[in-house]
Amino acid sequence: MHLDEATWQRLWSDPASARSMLDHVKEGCDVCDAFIASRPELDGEVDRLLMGLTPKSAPLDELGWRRLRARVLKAPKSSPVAWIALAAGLAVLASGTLLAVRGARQQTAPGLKGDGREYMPVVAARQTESGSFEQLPETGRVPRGSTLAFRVTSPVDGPARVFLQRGKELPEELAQLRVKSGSNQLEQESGLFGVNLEDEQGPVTVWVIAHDVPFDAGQALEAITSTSSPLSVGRVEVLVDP
Amino acid sequence: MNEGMKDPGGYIDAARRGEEAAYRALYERYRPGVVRLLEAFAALDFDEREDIVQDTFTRAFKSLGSLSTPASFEAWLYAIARNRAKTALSKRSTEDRTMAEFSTEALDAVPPFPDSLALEVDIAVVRDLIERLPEGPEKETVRLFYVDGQLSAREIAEKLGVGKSAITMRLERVRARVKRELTLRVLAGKV
Repeated sequence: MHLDEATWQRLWSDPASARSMLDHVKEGCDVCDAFIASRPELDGEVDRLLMGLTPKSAPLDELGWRRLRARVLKAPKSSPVAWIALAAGLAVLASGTLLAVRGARQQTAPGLKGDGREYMPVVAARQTESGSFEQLPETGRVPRGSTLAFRVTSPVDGPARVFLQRGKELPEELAQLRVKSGSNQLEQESGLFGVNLEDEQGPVTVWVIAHDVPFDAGQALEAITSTSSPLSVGRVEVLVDP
Repeated sequence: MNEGMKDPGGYIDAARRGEEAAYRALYERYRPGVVRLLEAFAALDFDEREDIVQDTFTRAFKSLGSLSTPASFEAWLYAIARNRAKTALSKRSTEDRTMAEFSTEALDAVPPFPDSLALEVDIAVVRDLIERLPEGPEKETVRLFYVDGQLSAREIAEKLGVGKSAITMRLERVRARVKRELTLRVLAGKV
């Protein structure tokens, strides 16, 4: 006689009645061992015990917590919006200047390729001290204090949100813009939109999230980390020299 | 805030009342364990693991009302995570679409966790069980994954120069041993 569904159910409701199986299972029975291994009821408890052996120390995953909070509780408050206008005169630059840097620094975020998200190419150009724009180097290294302008190839007409992420910190929302379908530079009402890196140092990622209908900051953050978001996502990575 | 959260009952009660700080404390306390559990699934990549972590906590938090024994929260959470991982892997399979869809549907439900399964087995029992394993690849794998707790199944496969599936199978064999030990204890009336 081997463990079966009926015996297994009795085991949990009235263990004493199934005690006759103890010696049999204890001696080692391949049939019963396979039956026990196939039962999911103890999976969680087994994992709890095994995880108890494992040292676990990790800082709070703030971005993950925000995503979860947006799903389970309410939508998170938007990060403080920080408009960073380009220096005077930049707004008059023709788009041709930026076209010259197309392909200069175009990165595909890990996880974007081949997943459900729509990848949105983004290129950046750096404003030089003379006010002109130049292509970013292949290394992505830029001097501190640089100002970047961006061109996106958007698959949609609609709202866009721009986030700045320092290293692996939580992305901070910088701006809410609009993009047109096709290739266009990021603009605000007063002209080109730019990101000033005066106070930055080390790896910085600028994320651009777009969609054809309005979306909130929580959905944008989710699009940054999730592979199943319907939003379009693009990013540029730079390394700001100290 | 949550140091020494031996019994998460208070936090679960607070979370059921909608207190955000309680949700956050539970997430902070139990996320590392869920991540570690998922790292045993060598076939999952980083993005898939992160999505499963989110799904696990979302389902758990939305189903807190169905958890009859708050002390079982951790085991219940791990059961959900394991189910979500299996669901993700079965969705990936295209060998038998019908079966995959069927099994996905079955696994998507939050697993019931009867009161009678709120076991009180000390971790020392498991530690002893592992110590009694014969020296060899299986014991080394278990040591690296559960005791040292630094490397993922993928990384252990690279370190030991074996296939990812071999590592997953070794870890599953040890889980089966622990499960058998638990069953024996229930049969013997020790829990």
